[in-house]
Amino acid sequence: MLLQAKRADLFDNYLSVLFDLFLTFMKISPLTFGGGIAIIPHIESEIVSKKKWFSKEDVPEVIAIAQSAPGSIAINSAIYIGYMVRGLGGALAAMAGMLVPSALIIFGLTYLFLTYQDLSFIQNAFKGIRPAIIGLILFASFKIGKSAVNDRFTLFLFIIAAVLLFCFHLSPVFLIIGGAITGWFYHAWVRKGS
Amino acid sequence: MLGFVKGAEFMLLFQLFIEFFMIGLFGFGGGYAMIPLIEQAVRQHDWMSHQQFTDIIAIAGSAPGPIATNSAIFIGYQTAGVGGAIIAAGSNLLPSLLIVILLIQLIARHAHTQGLSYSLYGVHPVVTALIFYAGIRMGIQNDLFSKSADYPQYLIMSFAVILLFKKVSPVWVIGLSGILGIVIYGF
Repeated sequence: MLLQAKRADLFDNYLSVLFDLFLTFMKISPLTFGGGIAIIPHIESEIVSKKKWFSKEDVPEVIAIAQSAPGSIAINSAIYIGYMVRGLGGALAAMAGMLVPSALIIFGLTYLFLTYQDLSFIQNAFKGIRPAIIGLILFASFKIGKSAVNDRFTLFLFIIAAVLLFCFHLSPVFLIIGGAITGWFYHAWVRKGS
Repeated sequence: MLGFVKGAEFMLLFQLFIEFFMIGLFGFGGGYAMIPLIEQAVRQHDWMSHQQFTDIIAIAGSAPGPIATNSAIFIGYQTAGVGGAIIAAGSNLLPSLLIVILLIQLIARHAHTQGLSYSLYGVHPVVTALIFYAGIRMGIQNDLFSKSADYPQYLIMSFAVILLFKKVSPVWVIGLSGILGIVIYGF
């Protein structure tokens, strides 16, 4: 009897932590436009200073794993922190917290866009926005390139990949796998040589 | 007849699931790294026009949250309704969930994860090229890098790039260029 009550208590506690994770990440989510590395200061203030789920020393580890896994850094950080706090349930709660506000906003914007896209001033606004998006994407490649292309080997890989894309239109997945294998062999070979 | 429609709908949802799962699985290097992958999937399945795809990136980039998940929601909704949006976003996130947890487990067991950073060292320059190529491609498809382009388009693109270098948030850049569009092309 007593054990059962204790178990129910533990379960309540478990649920309240999940809910807490959900709410905390729901609060962070609208602050992270673009979903990138901009989330880190908010994680520090909410998760480290207020909630004390993590210490400041753990933050670089969060960033390292969030950047190594595929997907957006913001979501990956939420998954990492949620999982460390309360396992799979925690990871799902934190991820859901990140997603709910932005999903609602994107649903609203999608609805507005699909309803009003034929209005002439909306079309003209998008005529102005399209070149800006091209600029945004080229800028994103420049920004990633600044840290990714930093020596002769990575420059070589960048050029090879660009040539293969522009001349042969190879599939991105094929190139990514190629880059991973080349990077691995290069390091293995350099380590052997030194 | 009904069975056929149901089958086609199921096929579409299945296609969305597979494509966005692969996009999530190979999206190394953050949200923007997924744009070339999404662009390729959209092109392959003819889910929408090039212009509409650019507009979706604009909307996904002006809402909070990861640009890839936002695009997944929009593309899923556009092709297969609310169910499509949920499937596309969910399958896009599943690889992140699995791989982050796998990495945590590996590190907890002191497994050798050095190989991953070696591989990523080779992946990131490729991703840089992919995003660059996607930008050029989308520019061509939107008649930006072509003879029919008018000079205000170049003006807006240069203006956007300058603002981004000045660390202005993309949301503001998108909003401002929308206003410029109305000013230049009329209300």
